[in-house]
Amino acid sequence: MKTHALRLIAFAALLTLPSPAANILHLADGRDMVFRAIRWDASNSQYLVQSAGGGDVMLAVARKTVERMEMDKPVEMAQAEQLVAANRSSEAISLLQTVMTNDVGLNWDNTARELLARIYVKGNESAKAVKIVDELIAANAPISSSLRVEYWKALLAVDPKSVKVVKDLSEAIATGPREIVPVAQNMRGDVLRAAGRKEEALEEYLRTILFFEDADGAWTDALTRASELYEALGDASRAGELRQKATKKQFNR
Amino acid sequence: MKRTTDFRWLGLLAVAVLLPLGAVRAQKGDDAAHLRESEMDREIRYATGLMDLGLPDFAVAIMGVVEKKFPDAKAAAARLKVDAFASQGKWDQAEVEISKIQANTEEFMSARLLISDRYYQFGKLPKAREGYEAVLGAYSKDGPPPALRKFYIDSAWKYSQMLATRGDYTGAAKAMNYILTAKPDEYLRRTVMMETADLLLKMAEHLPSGKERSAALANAAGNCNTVMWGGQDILFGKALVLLAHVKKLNENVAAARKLIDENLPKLQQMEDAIRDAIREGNPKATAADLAALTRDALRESPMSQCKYVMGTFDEDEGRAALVARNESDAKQHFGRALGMFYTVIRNYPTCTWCLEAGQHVENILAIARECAWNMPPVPKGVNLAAIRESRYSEANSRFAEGNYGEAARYFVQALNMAPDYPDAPRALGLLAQCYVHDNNELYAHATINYLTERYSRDNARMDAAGKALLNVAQLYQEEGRDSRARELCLLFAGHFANHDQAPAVLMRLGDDALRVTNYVDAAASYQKVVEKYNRPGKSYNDALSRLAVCQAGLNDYTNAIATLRTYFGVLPEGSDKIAVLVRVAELYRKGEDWENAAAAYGTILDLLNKPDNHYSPTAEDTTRNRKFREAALYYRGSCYSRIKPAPEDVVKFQNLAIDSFNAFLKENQDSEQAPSVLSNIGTLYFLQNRIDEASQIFETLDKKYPGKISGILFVQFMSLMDLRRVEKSVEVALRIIADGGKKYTPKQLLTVGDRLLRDGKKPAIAQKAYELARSTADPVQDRAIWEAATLGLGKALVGMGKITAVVEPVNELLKKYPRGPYTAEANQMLSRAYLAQAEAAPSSADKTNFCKQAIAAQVTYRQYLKEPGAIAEADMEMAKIQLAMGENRKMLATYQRVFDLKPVDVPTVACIEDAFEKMVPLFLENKRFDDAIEAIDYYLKKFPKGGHVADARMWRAQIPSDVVARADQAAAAPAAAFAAP
Repeated sequence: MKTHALRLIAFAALLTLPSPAANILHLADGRDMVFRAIRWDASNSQYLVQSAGGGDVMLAVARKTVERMEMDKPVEMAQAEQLVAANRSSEAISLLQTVMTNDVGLNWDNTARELLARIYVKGNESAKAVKIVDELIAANAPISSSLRVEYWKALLAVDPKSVKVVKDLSEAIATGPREIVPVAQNMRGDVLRAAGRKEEALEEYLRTILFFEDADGAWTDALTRASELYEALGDASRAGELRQKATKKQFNR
Repeated sequence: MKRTTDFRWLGLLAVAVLLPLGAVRAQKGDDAAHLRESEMDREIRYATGLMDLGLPDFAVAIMGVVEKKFPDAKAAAARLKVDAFASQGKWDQAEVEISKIQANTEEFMSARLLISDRYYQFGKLPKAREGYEAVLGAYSKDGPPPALRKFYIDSAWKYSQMLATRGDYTGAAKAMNYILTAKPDEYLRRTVMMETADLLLKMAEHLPSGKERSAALANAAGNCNTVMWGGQDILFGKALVLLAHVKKLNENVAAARKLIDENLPKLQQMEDAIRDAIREGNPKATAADLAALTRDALRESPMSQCKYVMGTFDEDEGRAALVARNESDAKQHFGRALGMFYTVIRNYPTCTWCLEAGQHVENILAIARECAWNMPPVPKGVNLAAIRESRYSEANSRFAEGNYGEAARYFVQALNMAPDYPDAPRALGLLAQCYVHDNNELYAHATINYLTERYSRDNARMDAAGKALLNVAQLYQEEGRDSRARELCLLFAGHFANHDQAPAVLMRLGDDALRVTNYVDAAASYQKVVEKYNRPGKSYNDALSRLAVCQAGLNDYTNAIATLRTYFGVLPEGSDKIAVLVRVAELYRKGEDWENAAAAYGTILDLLNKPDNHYSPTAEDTTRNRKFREAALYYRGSCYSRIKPAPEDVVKFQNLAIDSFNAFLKENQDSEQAPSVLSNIGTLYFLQNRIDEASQIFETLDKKYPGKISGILFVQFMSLMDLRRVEKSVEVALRIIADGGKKYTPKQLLTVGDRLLRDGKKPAIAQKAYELARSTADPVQDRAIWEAATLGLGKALVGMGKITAVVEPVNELLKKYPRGPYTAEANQMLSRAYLAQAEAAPSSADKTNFCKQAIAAQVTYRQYLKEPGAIAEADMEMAKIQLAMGENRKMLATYQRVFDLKPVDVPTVACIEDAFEKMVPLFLENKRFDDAIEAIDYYLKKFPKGGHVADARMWRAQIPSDVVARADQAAAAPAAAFAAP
């Protein structure tokens, strides 16, 4: 009876575990290999893998031979996501930090970082958010456009004259996806404006007004700010024209 | 069939109104008055025809003849001249011609309209607006006189278009109304009312709810109703649809829908009538031709706008359903809207609503993608790519017509509609050009910088973007805005390093700087070409050659020679290679490195002496190399003779020089240099105490070149000077001066003075030579010699430290010849002399008086200055005078001005350094720490290897720490981040 009960518990535990067998390395030569376990060996820039066929022997797979990988979602990650969804973000922090420590180099560490950065942004902890995103940048991890915008805001919150943010904004304007360009231009305009460089700031907003009519929020923001700057520069008629456009856009939204 | 027959008459009308402006123009050309016109009118018409053909010069010539023959043609001729000048963009001349016409006459008014049309054509919109308003407004009450009527209507139409393209719909509607004051025929009147209604509708679309919006929509509706009362033609159909649109904007969608639903059969019949009219009017046309003709004709069908408006009904309802989270309804409405918009695109590809329909399709498809709906594929015949392309090509054609305002609007629309279109970089360049034409510099800036920043790192489009940027630079250049053109070239050079044109642009930048002897900037450009585009070819080779010129100009002979040696290596065999070696040898000479210079000339001779050398492949090369050889022989001798070796080697080098000179004479007996070479040999013998041989040489010199050289002592003096035997030459000079000017001409005495002063640095003896030259020369007959000797005397006195003694002779010179070749230099000298007198003056009154005279002379001197370095030097001298006058604040301001100059050349840099050295201690003394630290930090950044770096650091350490901290913080501000890459 006792044995039966133990078996049931074990079965129940199995059911609660995330579904296994996602530890796959997609190799650059086109082969896909499934492993029981994968660890990242940073000092040798290689993965240590344990064969699915059993045995405890760890084999090394060089990083350069791996194109991409799929790993099981860590339990802590799933729990953290649930907590965030339930507006209990502060409780998720330690779980995410665990993932960042335990799953180094296995992608989930960066996913955890992205979520943690968002939690910090939401909690107005700009310096911490910046630190986490900097780690993502250093790891060459892909960063979503929305997180990038939050990152800029956080940087500016930490230092309104941040040189780093201007450089990153310029990089995004030059090479980023189209949807991020108007936001970056507006933010660069804001920095310039704060530095008293009104005409240059105005030029940034005009770029958004001229070429990003499809960027709803950014376009209206640019219209409003450009209108304010025209006003400050003594061109009331142009200011009025842009203000009217902005009002209309908001009105039509 | 019956249905179409009922409205058959509509087909004829449809064709008649295909182009409303055509109707306007039809009125202009409807009379055959010219059949009965006078000879004068016929000639004027002929000249006008020439204008229309784009031959303004011929037109003006013809009118010149007509004007002489028919005095009455004067006004017409002036009007034509106005147009001729304006058509070529010669605005000042055109305005002068207008001013010759009696004001407020018909001719005057028509000339003003003409020039306004041209201003519009050239994108000078404010001027166009001014002209149109003046003339159109003048007749707004009673309408224009009959003779001006057609022209007036035409111009009002253009003016309205101009304002509409700039989004000024209110102004455009007002301009349209001017046409009504000209009492047009009924059809044109209704056309104008429809156009006005359309403008009011667009105006209302841009306004938020309120009185203004309601009034605009009410007026539009009023116009539509009036038009509809005029008959059931195409305009009726258009008015009906526009009325529905107005109702929709009045948020009465149900009424709008009802209006359209009730009249849809009628609108359809109108469209069928157009189709029938085309078919019946072209019985022999093929099916394809007929389809094309119908497509064009349907441009005016009211059905296109009708379907478009119906599409927007459904689109709006779809959006509302989406907000209400009723996805199924939303999908249904959007599907119906797409159907309508697709119909507009497929059936009315040339109508004005087609592009807007395309935009709506894009928006709906974007929503569908976002909602992950499976929408049916875009039907066949709906070519969205073609719509995008057509928007770009419409913009291009407007640009080509010179209609820049409208072109800009189309480019912006195209770039928003299809930002990834392959032609986007080129379009951005053309858009920037539109703004340049339109004098909208801020928008031009924004567009240019966006083009550069966004596309210079896009490998696929970098090439097109670079070309587009260069075309804008070219436009600025054509407009005479060289500095802006240069800025764009710099922008290009900074961002498009991998562009094919990059080396050429850098070369251009270098050449521009070199032209004004700005060696610093020129060298930087050439250096980039040499370093980045390191492959033999024209640009690379030219860059090496010109870089060497710049380095030499900056007295950097070592690097200039190294550059020339690289240049030598890449050149093909021929005389060009020898020319490079000649330049190398010259640079050694300039650096007074006589030994290496002699060796370099020796190399040239060795290369050319080889029997089968490759340096003379053509006859031209042979001729050039002969000249190079002649120069090499001469200068090798000259260099040997100037070497200052150890005492035991003196004779050896003198003999090498003599050998070289003899070799020269052997090959170049008739050379212009021959007499001086011979005299050099004689002098070298003289120095070796080989007196007999020396005398023999001088006798030969006298016999062989009679009249060329007079006075053996003079020849000896010149040779000794050439050989840099200054002390010996002074001895000879004293003997010449002792002669008192009997055997020697004033010119020779002047030369003696010049060489003693310049080459010998012996001002005291030079003074005597100049005084003798001055006293023996006739101030009028020998003016040039007398002037030069007087100035030389001044310089000698300065050299002797007797600066105040300069005043008398120099004043005499300026009094006798206030304007001459030495005016500038004489005034500079005089200014310095007065300043010296001021500094030595015992009383403050005398001091002030002398300073004033110094300033007066300085002001005259500055009038002659062009080079930035000379101007900077003059500023520094002015500062000295200000110091003498005790005007310390002015002096400090002068130093600041000099310090802010661009370091374009060596003298300017020297002045900046000087100004910095004098200015900062004054700032510190006056506790102007912010100014001091700003200057210091600027200096340390701009001149990291400057002569006052140590001083600058020392001064910085003397500044209070809070000021330093503030400055450091400011330095970390965005300025650094925005620095050009």
